[in-house]
Amino acid sequence: MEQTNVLKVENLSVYYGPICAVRKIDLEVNQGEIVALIGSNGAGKSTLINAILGIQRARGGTITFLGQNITRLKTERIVASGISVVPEGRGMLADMTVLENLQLGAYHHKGDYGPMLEKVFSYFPILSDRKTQKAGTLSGGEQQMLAISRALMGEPRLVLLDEPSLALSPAYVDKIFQFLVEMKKQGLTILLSEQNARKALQYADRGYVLDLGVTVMNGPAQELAVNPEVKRAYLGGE
Amino acid sequence: MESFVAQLIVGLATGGIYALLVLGMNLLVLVRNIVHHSYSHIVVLTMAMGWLTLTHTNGSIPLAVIVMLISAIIFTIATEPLFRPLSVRGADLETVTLAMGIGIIITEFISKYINGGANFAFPDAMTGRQNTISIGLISFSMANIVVLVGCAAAAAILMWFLFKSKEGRAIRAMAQNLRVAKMLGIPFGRTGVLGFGIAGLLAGFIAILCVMTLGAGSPSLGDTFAVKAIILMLFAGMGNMKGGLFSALFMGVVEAMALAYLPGRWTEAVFYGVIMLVIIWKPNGLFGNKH
Ligand SMILES: Nc1ncnc2c1ncn2[C@@H]1O[C@H](COP(=O)(O)OP(=O)(O)O)[C@@H](O)[C@H]1O
Ligand SMILES: [Mg+2]
Repeated sequence: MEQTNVLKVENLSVYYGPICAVRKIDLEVNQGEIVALIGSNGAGKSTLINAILGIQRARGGTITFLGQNITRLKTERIVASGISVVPEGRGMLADMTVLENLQLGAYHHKGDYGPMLEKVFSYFPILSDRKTQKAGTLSGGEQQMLAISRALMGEPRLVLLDEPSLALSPAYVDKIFQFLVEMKKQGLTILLSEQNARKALQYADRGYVLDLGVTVMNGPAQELAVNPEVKRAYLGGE
Repeated sequence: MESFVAQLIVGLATGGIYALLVLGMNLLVLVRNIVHHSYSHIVVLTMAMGWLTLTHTNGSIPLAVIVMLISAIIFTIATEPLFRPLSVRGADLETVTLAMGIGIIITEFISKYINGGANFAFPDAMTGRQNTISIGLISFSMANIVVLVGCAAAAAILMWFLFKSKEGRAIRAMAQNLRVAKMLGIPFGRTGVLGFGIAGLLAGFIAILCVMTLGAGSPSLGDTFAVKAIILMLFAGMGNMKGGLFSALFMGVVEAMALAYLPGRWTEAVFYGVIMLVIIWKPNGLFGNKH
């Protein structure tokens, strides 16, 4: 069973100075899963994602990726080892072209990224049409496609997405999630954060509910989606 | 007319050297978001290393050239760890202070230890100034032509590196959004050192071209270049490579024309006058939208 484990976070704590943003979190992501981090604004989702990526340093705990302890590694080593990110707010390099953004996503690609470029252009032909255009001139939805494509360019094992549905129209939100499910079928492992709990739990396999830096609940997505407490707090239901 | 063409060539050669100084400094703006005020001083220190090599060996020019290129790279990279913590903190004023401090130390060093503080002249064999070329009535020195071609080649190579290569792309990404660049896994440390190394190689090349056109260095040369380079950077817009290139060529020509056709020593006044007007008229620089 341990073999299927792609990412394992144990007892992770992250601080901003004296402020504790993530407190003793345990989390696992298995091969070929979509795992959702649900929580309202300020729950600590971005902090957790940035800690996995080594952008924000953990004060305590360990992060293990494919059996390797990456807690103290530099971000560039972590990315090179097979984790990529779709940053919150898409993280466009707005003055660089669509193609350059994609090429930067392949910075750590070991071989020829040409076939991968062909692949993302076949997923999102619009990016191929716009490849010489500055990324900043794309619409919000197109930018999110670019951010996701860029994260795929290095052929990672695990992709972290920080609020992919943020500021997108509902039609795009479904399109993005359906694409992620498609990627999952091809063997990609995904950890995403969402305030949009309804959509996230609709498409995810499992979920963790974060509140004030601690996990208050976790389980299969369908179970969380019908849990009365989750419904009350995050789905505006009941 | 003949003298006008000759002046134009002199102006373009001078402007070419300013252009490379501005390109080197702009590269460091992209790499670490710093204004490396002492970049020009490193160029002059590099000239001094060439002079020392010539005076302490049997005057081997190839050896002097190699020493200059290597020492420029070493000097420039040696400043990277000094700037790194300031750049990470985004401490602009401290960065300027640090850079000026390095410049002052270099100037002091040269005035104490290089030729007793006097101008240090290079042999004619290294300057190529004795070779003049005449086309009809126009005549100009071979050095100016070599400098012009050298500047064009260096600028083209640098532009290719920045806009077409993987590491150049990484440097531009860091300049645009450091946080995102880091999230994409671009190594901040290594890419920075590479950028400083390339700026250093360029500094060595500029030093060689300066030897060819000026024939001598002096302790105050670093300051003279530094002030011009920084003003040209402002003129074109900080970090704007192409703008800096054209502004520098243009100002080199303005300077040469003023030198040739205006009475007395009005060169500097014209140079700064034109620039002051542009800074007032376009606060972000002639080509700038950055900063
Ligand atoms: N750079 C920072 N400095 C100080 N506090 C921060 C910083 N970034 C986030 N925080 C705090 O950490 C907590 C978690 O934030 P964050 O991880 O961004 O939450 P989420 O992504 O779930 O909205 C919040 O209380 C937030 O105010
Ligand atoms: Mg967030």
